[in-house]
Amino acid sequence: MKAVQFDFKLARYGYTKVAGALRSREYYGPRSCVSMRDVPEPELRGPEWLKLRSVLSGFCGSDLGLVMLHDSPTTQPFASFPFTIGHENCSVVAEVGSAVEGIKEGQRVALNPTLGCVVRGIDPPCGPCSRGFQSICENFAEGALEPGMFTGFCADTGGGWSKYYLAHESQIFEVPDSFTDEQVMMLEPICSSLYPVLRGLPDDGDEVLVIGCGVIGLGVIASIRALGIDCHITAVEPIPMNARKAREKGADELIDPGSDSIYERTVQITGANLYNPMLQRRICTGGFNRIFDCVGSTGTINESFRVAAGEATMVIIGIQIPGRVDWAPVWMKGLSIIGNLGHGSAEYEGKTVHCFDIAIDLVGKGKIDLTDLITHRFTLDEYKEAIEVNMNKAENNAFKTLFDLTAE
Amino acid sequence: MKAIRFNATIPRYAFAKGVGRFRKEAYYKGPLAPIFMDDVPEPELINENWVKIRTIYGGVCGSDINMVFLDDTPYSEPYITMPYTVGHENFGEIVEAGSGVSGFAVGDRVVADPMLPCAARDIDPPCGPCARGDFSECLNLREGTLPPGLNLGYCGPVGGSWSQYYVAHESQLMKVPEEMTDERAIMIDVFASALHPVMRNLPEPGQTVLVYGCGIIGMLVTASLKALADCRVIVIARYPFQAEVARGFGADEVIMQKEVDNLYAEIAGLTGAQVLKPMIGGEYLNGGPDVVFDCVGHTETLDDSFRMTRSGGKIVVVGLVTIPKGLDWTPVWLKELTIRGTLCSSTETYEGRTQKTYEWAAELINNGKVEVDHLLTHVWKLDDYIPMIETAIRKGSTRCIKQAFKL
Repeated sequence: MKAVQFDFKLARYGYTKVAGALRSREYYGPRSCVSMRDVPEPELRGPEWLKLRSVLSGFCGSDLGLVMLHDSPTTQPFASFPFTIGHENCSVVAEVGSAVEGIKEGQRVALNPTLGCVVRGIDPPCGPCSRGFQSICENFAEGALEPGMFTGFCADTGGGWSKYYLAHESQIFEVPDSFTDEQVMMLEPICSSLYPVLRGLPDDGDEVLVIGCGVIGLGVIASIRALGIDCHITAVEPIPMNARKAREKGADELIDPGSDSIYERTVQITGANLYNPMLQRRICTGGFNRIFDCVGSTGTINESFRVAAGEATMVIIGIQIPGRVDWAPVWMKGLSIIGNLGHGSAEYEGKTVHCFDIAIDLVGKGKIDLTDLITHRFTLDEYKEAIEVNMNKAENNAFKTLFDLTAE
Repeated sequence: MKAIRFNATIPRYAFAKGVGRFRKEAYYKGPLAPIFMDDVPEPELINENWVKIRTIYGGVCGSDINMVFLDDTPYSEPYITMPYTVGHENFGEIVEAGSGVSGFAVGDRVVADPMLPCAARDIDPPCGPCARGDFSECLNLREGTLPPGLNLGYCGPVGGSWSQYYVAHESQLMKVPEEMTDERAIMIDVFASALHPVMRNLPEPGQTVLVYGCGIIGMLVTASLKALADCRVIVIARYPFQAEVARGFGADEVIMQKEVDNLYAEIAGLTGAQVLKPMIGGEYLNGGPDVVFDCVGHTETLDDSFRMTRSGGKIVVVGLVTIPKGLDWTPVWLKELTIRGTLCSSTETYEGRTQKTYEWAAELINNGKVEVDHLLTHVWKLDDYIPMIETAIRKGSTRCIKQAFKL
């Protein structure tokens, strides 16, 4: 079967790093780390495993980071090469292991891609897994599987960018028949926004700032609204198409970083005080109580620190190696910074449940729907076009793109 | 009266920065040094709610030394009024009390909380953080009856403890218990600065805590952890005399930074963690300490803290971090870390009781829970501020922990 794979070879990595910076098509060219390969269909790894047929598989921002070699070397021990990409999946069960209960062949399912202790056959599980925080499992490089934090980054499981891949029964979430395939596929991206919102949960009346309105930022706004929190949301976004979507999803105010001063707008919106140091950018006291930085660049981190209120909580979703960051506001304002990677369990309606359960409940009740963000569909053979569109999202009016494998 | 003053005018700043690169003395010696001894009028009461205090001891804080070497971030500049008399760690005796002061009288031995929040600025009602007791988060540090200034010792008319007299608002004052020695009283401020981050981030029973750095703050963070929490404490120290003090405060393990080949392997061994080495880039730990108190705040220590903290763990930034260079933030999201900034001190609740951090510090010193007598290693006359600075920058040979001016 065909599979779009990523292979880490130092020579390819080095070449692509240099050549890709000069000519973007080198990122997926013949000497890059990404290629379409012919691989054997995977076989069940044990009685608790299932073979899934990929129906839709999304193209995540992290997949683009992978292709463009933006990932920090720090993540490398937690992947195994070569692997088939694809962790935002709507799939149909093709084969069921003998110990799997309640799931039938032909059933459509959602996949939690996290490959924590249970998936790896590690018992007792590590501390974070036993508390329900699988996304920070300490055993991503241990146990019965090759290293990998998620399906789509692990040589043994495969991923959604091929016809078949494998999943452990604990990764499977059943979904109502009323959901469309697109709704099933979008459950994982919803969780990537919903979980950080649950970790830095705003209170009623809070001034909330969401920086960056790509799929994650729009999902953050939609998640806050889906949870019914009565807070005031300001979104920072330069691209008009994304800014319009932010309004639709529930942002009260917009800041265009191209034409507005984020500092002056912070004063207008929150009533903060604004100061001008002699040698530096401006700073506010007062300001935003909750900041979701969905960009994680040097500029957004510095600005977030400076427009945060005292004791504010800042959730950073995805960030790599920023340049000059002035940390003084962190101690001067007593800020809390929360890093977020994936998703795990959280409190919901008085119970501790997995984020996927919460997302399924909210989608079922019609409180959140991100399928309107799906703008492009590709076949696997068109993976280079898909990469090209994702590298130039604004010009292509793209939000979420996906591979449709129904014809494979 | 004599006072040690600071004024980073553009010529002084430029001279010190330019020449100081080649000759460190330029920062503190000569007519163009931003720090200098001056003769200034005695400070006057700002209004009827203030007292005038005769300095007994004026402490030297690490931040004062950073200031001398112009290492402060420009971020804090709007919160300063120059020129000013240096010194926020203070202890003295009231010599004049305004008519509105009710709880204090001439002759009282007092320590002033150096923060100048809403109360000291006669701002009523106070801002949200002040109303909650979070004075260090005050929103009005440039407003009210005082010029901008975070603290005593950074605010022109208030003066500072590196001179014979300073003034304080009644709300800043705390009486020093009669039986407490002068040498213990001057340690209250620095102890409160260590207690605040610990009491705001009290480890859970059984957790492993790494204290990175063993200057006075690292030592007192260790002492606070051992006095208030049931946790295991690992300390990273630079000099043997620091390690000795940390052990005296109950540190379970002390790692001598210069003596170990690989800090990561050492911490991994002590915490049962695994050292991971990516093909490119630095090592880091899988597992590791649950909480790290970074009491240094340099790029290297923050980078190490990011890499060594356990998944889901917490880093409390106690050192005053400025602009780390080339810091890889990946572990922040990869390990879903929480980073907490803290400043100075304010109000803390412990075992159901709430009081100012200063009061906690005085109480823990006074009831013998934390013994601080051996920490005051160098006492100087005001005229000796230059040898004081030189002692601070040669800690290894001077075995300096805490210095103070005795007036």
